[in-house]
Amino acid sequence: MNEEPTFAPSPAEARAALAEVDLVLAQTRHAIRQGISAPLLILWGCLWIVADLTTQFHPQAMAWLWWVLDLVGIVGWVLIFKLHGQRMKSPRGWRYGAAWGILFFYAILWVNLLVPVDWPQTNDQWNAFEPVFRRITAYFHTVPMFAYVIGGLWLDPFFIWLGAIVTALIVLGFCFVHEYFYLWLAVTGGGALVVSGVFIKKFWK
Amino acid sequence: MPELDKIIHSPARLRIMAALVALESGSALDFSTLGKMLALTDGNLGAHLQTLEDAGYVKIEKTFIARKPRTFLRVTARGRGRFEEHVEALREICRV
Repeated sequence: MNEEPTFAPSPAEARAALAEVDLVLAQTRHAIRQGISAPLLILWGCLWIVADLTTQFHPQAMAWLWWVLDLVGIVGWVLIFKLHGQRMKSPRGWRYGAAWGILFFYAILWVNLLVPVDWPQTNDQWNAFEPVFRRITAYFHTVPMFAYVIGGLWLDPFFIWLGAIVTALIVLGFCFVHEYFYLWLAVTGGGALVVSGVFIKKFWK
Repeated sequence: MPELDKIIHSPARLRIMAALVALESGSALDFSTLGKMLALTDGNLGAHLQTLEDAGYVKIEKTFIARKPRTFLRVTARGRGRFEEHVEALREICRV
């Protein structure tokens, strides 16, 4: 056990104690956010990478892969919040999970309403549909980034930057990288989310 | 004039209180998560927490999650107030 310090600290000792308090406060807030943000970012990123690479190179497979990715996303989201609940209990913590759940539901709802029930099965059908799907995809990818920017106003500026930069990359790709847009999304969008998640997990301790 | 708190003044207890005060009011942190965050052994953390609980600064709650025992820690309103006063007293010393 640590030795008890003298009870009349000098200004230098008081400054050191305050610096320690500030450090622990910052570390704890980062650790709490890291615990839930890092796995969510990695999950989002991996789903994007799989969906976008498939759309780029084998779009017909997305007819069934949508449902698999939706399921993986929902199960992953539930598991992440369940595990987080074993480390921390918060009277208002459910709102964070609910916010992500509502956002996820909103995005899934509109993608499924905007995308035709009969997914293109031939190259001709895909080529005719692709320009519309590109717009839907660009929009769909900016929804969680929009949430990161808004959430960052309360949580941490890191998320504002992350959301803004990835949104800018999506818009850039949408305007200038037509032929390999989905590959661009996989690398810049999904890749950025995975790298951010790993970065937070490694350094926000 | 804010006063220093003898119980909180110990470096380990100051860090424990800072970590728990960083949580949203009413929130609780798991014992092993706190130990890892502060790099304290279970025995060391347990002893300091007992002192803080005896002073009424921390509430220790034992529960079961998926049939496994878990200990959650939360700072009390009294503990939060004493911690803030202690930090303010440290700031006063720095201003001298």
